Amino acid sequence: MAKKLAIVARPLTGLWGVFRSNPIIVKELRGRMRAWRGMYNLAFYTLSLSCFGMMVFVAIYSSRNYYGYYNYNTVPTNPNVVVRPISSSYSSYGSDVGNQLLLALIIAQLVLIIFLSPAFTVGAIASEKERQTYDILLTTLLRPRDIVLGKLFSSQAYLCLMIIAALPVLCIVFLLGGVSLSQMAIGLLVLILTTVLMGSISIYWSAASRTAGRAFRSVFFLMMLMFLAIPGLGVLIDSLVRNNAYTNAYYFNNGPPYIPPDWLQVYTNISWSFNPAVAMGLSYNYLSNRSSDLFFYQNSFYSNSGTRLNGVSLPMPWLTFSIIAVVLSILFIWLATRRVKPLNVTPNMVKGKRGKKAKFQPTPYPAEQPATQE
Amino acid sequence: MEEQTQNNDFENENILTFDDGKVIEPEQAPTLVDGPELVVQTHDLVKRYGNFLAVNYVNLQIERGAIYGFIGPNGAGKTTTMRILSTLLDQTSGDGWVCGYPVSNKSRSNLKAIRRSIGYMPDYFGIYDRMKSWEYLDFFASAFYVDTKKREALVRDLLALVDLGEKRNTYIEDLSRGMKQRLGLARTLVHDPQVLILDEPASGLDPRARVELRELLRELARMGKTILVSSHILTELAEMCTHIGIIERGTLLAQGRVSEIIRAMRHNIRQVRIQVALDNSKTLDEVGAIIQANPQIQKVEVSQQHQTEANQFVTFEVSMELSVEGAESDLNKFLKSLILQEVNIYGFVEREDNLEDIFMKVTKGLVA
Repeated sequence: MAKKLAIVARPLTGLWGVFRSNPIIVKELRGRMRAWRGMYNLAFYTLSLSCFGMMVFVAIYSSRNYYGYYNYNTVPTNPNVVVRPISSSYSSYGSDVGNQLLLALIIAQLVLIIFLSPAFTVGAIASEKERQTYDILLTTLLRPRDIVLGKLFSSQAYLCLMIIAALPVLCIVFLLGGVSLSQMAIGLLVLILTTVLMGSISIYWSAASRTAGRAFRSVFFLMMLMFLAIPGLGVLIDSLVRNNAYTNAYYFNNGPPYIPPDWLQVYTNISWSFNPAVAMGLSYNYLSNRSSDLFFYQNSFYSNSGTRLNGVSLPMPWLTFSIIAVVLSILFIWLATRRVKPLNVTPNMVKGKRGKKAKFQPTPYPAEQPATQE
Repeated sequence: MEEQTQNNDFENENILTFDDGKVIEPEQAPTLVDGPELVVQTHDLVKRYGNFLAVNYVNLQIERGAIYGFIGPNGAGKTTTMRILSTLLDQTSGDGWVCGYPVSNKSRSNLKAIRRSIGYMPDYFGIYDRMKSWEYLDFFASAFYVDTKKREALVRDLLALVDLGEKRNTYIEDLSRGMKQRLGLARTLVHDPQVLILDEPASGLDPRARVELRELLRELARMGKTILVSSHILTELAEMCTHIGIIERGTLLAQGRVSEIIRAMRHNIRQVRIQVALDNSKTLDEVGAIIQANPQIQKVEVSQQHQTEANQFVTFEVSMELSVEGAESDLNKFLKSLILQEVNIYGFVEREDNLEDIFMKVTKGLVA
């Protein structure tokens, strides 16, 4: 029995042992949590998130408490008469606020994390090069894998601590009701995966660049590409295809309502899911407005007459994002371990401009001959 | 028998153990010369950066227990050679061996074996922010997988060795440059390596710190470490090295024991300083003619003249620098001939060459 238990326990203790025995983790965490700075950062983060949450709550509340709903077209002429919305598309008052507040808080955290995670990680290896400790580190017995995972873990651990510290702020939405635990759970999962993804990208560029500044620029461009360009392109292609189809089908042929081809539905789902904020917004929307599964949803379209037409069944955007994040994180960590190797430093005297060929230097001795020694 | 076992146990306690405990047999390095065991050697080592030849067929040979001074001007290829030996740089061709392990073999186990054998200190002192002296050593000890239980004692001993025992809890950024350098040296010792590769350890240090560092290196040599130390400042190395290698523009111009090199560099020409008192019987020109009449004399130079007055006698004293060809016995004959010809000679000293002279003779000043 004990043996069987040991089989289960060994990988876990082994994993813990890997982290505990990794000298980089011990060193980094010791430095990061030294003095009160770590605590101040944490307190500041939580406080600013609370303030933001309060602002959003006040904004949502004040925009609708007077009339009780959004739609100003149906505002009754007599403002003293409060008309409750009767449409079923509006859920009950509190739950809507709760849902919106949760989404706002998670998106706010996502934005913070997207910038904080590189800020914490991008210097991990590049700063070793700047401080000139990189060579010393490489002449130890540490493997590139130890260095990359150690650096990544220590920066991510602090960020995860931030996310966990902000959890009570998020939990305020439960007081408003209508928010399920699963919604909170997927929010947290996406937050943590975003952190890890940004961390992995940052550690790769940190290993590949000579300075933290350069690494940060590269991370920033990749971030723009992933979070804005790819989803933006998805939206563009989707609207182009649909627009074309609508024009042909509706105006000229007066034909049947248009459903985009399967590949386009899948492509749109994937491209939108590259942006965690969009993925979260869509997921919450699907969860609250349609009776969607937690993991899958039915893509649906409405014809001009208002009939609902079903498209393909797709994974929820948060799930797609999670898969993307995990795959990309593993890829970037693997690439980073391959980039942790000694710099082939060229002496200053022959160092040309970046990207240009090194200046020609005459060979010091006429022929490359073994020097005769006396 | 029992006593022997106890002894072994005692010895084993002093040996640093590594967690993974793998032992790799060193490959057989080619023996280039018959003689003492070579701990570090290179064979036709070449490193090119594009068109630039940084290291040109260098054949280093460093004996066990030597303090090997690697001398050359800036940009001569010292750092490149040291980085190749420290596995931080790939050579273009040729090979090097550290404790028998070839640096060309990039397998993980071989690299590990080399890294265990060397303590490398680059020519800059990389420090971490917000780190205390003991934490710095502890971090590197753990990076070499030194047993956790032995680490505390090890750090204490190393700090004591480099005379930083009292600075144990000081942040590294608050240490003076000399202290940082000593801490760096202690860092190279955490895994008890056989060879220390120190790249310009004394650069930027004040004279006191330099003397302290020199003493420390001597102490380490007494402890049985083989030290490869580079510098472009000769006086730094002059007093502590047992061996030197002179490199310029990537080419190793000379290497060997300091005394051997001095002998080889002389080309049998000795520098002699003589002092002659001139009285009424001989003028300076006459003395000069007598000296130059001797076929062994290569060069005569009058370096000093002054006159003294005592008891109404006026004496001219002249110092001359001579280059004399021949062995020591020839000097004896030369001195005898001067005395026989009644030259009033009262000083005859053979001047020892120092490293600086050798260096100036050997290098051609192509780079500096």
